[in-house]
Amino acid sequence: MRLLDVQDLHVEFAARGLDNRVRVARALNGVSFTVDAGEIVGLVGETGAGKSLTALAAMGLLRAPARIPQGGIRFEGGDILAMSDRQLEKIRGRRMAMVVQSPLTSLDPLKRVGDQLVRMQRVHGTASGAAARERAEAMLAAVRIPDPKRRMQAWPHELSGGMAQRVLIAMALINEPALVIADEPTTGLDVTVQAQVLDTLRDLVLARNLGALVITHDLGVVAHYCQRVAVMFAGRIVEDGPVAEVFARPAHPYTQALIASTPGRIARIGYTVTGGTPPDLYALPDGCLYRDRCPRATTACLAPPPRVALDDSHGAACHYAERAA
Amino acid sequence: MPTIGRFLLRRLLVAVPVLLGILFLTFMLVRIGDQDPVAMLAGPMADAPMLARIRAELMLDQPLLTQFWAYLGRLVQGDLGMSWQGNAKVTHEIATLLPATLELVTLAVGIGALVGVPLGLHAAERPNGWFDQASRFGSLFGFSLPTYWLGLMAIFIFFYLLGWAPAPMGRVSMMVTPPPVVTGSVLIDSILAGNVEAAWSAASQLVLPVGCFAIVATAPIVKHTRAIAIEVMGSDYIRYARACGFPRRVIRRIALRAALVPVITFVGSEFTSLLAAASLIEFVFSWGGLGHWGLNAILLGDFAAVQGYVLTLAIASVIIFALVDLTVMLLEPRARS
Ligand SMILES: Nc1ncnc2c1ncn2[C@@H]1O[C@H](COP(=O)(O)OP(=O)(O)OP(=O)(O)O)[C@@H](O)[C@H]1O
Ligand code: SF4
Ligand SMILES: [Mg+2]
Repeated sequence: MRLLDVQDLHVEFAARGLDNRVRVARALNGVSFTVDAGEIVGLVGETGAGKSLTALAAMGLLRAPARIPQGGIRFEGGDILAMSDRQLEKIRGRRMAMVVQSPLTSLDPLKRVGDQLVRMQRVHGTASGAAARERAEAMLAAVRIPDPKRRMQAWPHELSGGMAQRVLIAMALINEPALVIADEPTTGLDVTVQAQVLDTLRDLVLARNLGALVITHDLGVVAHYCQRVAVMFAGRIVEDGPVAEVFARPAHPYTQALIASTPGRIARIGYTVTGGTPPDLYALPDGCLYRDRCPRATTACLAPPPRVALDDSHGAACHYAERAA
Repeated sequence: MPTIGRFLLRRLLVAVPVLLGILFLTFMLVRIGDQDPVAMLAGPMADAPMLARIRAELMLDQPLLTQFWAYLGRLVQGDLGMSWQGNAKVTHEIATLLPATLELVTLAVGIGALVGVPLGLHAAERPNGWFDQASRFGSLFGFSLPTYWLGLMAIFIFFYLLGWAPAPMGRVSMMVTPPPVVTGSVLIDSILAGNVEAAWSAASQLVLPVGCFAIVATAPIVKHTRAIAIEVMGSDYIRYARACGFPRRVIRRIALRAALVPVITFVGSEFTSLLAAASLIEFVFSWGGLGHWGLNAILLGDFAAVQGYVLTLAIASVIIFALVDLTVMLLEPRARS
C-alpha cells in the first residue's frame, strides 16, 4: 500500500463569464504520482502548472468552484475524495500535515507560538495540558529554534520569516503525521536560511521515516533534498522518476529544457522556462499540451501521449520518450 | 502598565494641537459669516451707539486674532464664554445637555452593534447567499433614508396615526415630575430616584428617536462587519487553520477573535460620527440635547456656543478614539509592541 497514491487526478473550475456562458478551466488533466514512507518526492513546474492545486486536492482542501470530475486520491489506503469533512478534519494536521509558503501570515496572529502548538495537539487529541506544552517545547528544539522555552511565549509577529517557517514545521510534525506536504516552504527566505530550513525538514522527515511531498520552483532543491521527482506542466505530470535518473537522462522535452536552462546544479524556474506561455486552461488543445513549445513535435503529437515507462521507476509522457532518453 | 501611560501621554500631546486647530478654524468660520449677533442681541429698538457699545463689550470690534487670544485665555481657566441664546454659561449648557445626547447616541450605537455585528457575521458566512442579499437590501434603507425624514415618518406613523408613541416633545412627559439630576440620563435618574412614572415616561420618549437613530447606526455596522468577516475568512491564517484540520467551531472562534479588533474600531468611529449627526434627530424630536443646541447656535450665530459645541465633539472623539485604541492594545499583541 502506498502512503499517498494520486491517480489520474483531474481538477476543473467552472465560471460563468460576462456573456453568461459557463467556461471551464481545466487546471489538472490527469495527475498521477505516489509518495511512500521514508522518501521525499519533489514536485516541480512553472507557475500555474497546478502544483498547489495538487497539494490541496491531496489534503482534501479543494472547495467550490473547484471540481474533481475524474481521478482518485488514496492516503494510507483511505479514499480522500469519498471522505466527509469530519473525517478529513481528523486526518489533516494529524496523519498528513502541510507546511505552507507564507508562515508569517499563516500563524494565528493572536495566539502565542506555544499556545498554537498546544492547540494543534489538543484539537487532534494527541496531548493536552502540561504534556502538550512539554512536547511543544521539545518540537521547537527539534526544528532547531534557539531558546525554545522563550519562543513558546513569542507572538507570531515577533518571529523572522525563517523562524516562523520552523514553527510551521514544528506545527506539522507535532502530531507525528505520516505525510508532510510542503508547498514552496522557503519562498521569500534568503538563501542561507532556505538551506537551513530545508535541512531541518529533511532530517526530521527521514529520521521519522515519514513521506514528504516538496513543491518547489527550484531544481536545486530537488537535486539536494529529494529522492524522486515529478515534473509538472499544464496540469499533468510530464516526467517522473528517481532524481539521479531524471537529471541524468531527462526524457521529456520540457524536463530537458528545464535542466538545460539550469546553470550548474542550481536552477530557478522563473515564470516561463524557455520562453513560451503556458496553454490556455480554458481552451486546452487535444493531444500533447506541450506541443506549441516543443522543438520535437510532429503530427503524432496531435494525439495525447501516454506515459512511456523507460524503466520500472522512470517514465515520461511523450510519444518520443524512448528515443530521447 | 507603563506602556499605557506613555500611550495616553502621547495621545494628549497630539490632541492639543489638533484641538487648537479645530478651535481656531471654528472661531474664524463663525466670524466671517454674515451673521450679526449684535443686531439680534440689541433688538429692533437699538440705536447706533448702543450697537457700538454691545459690539465693544463682546470684543467684536477687535481684530480677530486678539479676540481668539482672549478666548484662549478664558478657555484655560475653564470659561467658554456666554451663550447668547439662553443667556447662560456655555460650560453649564454643555454639562446639562451633553448627557441627553450621549444617552441617545449610546443607545443607538449599542443597539446598532448588538444587531449589526451578528447580522454582518451571519451575512459573511455565505457571501451573496440569500441572507447576505437580504441584509444588504435592508441596510440600503439605513444608508439612503435621511435621518430627519426617518424621524418625521416615525412621528407621523407612531404618534399621529397610531397613537402608540408619546408626543415628540423632549425626554420626559411634562405631566410627570422629573427626577433630580444625577447622571443626566432621565431614564437612569428616574430609576435611581425610584420614580416609576418618570422612568416609564422617559423610556417611552426614548423609543422613537433611539429606534430611528439605531436604524441609521446599524446599516454601516452590518456592512463593515460583513466586509471584515469576509476578509478574515479569506486570510492566510484561516486557510492554514483548515489545513491543520481544525473543526468549524475552532475556526469560527479564531475568526471571531480576529474580527473583534477591527469591528470595535469601526463601532468607535461610528459613535463619534453619530454624536455629530445627532443634531437632526434631536431637532425632529425636540430632544433638547447638545446637538439640538449646537444646531440652534449655528443658525442663530451664537458664537461661543458654536465653539463650545465643536470643541465638545472634538474632545469626545479624542476620548473615544483613545478608549478604542486602549481596547485594541489589550486585545492585539501587535499593537502592544
Ligand atoms: N478559482 C480558480 N478559477 C480558475 N482557475 C483557477 C482557480 N484557482 C486556480 N486556478 C488555476 O489553476 C492553475 C494551477 O494553479 P496552482 O496554484 O496549482 O499553480 P502552481 O503550480 O502552484 O503555481 P505557483 O508556482 O505560482 O504556485 C493556475 O493556472 C490557476 O490559474
Ligand atoms: S508528445 Fe510530441 S509535442 Fe509532446 S513533448 Fe513529446 S514530442 Fe513534444
Ligand atoms: Mg503554488
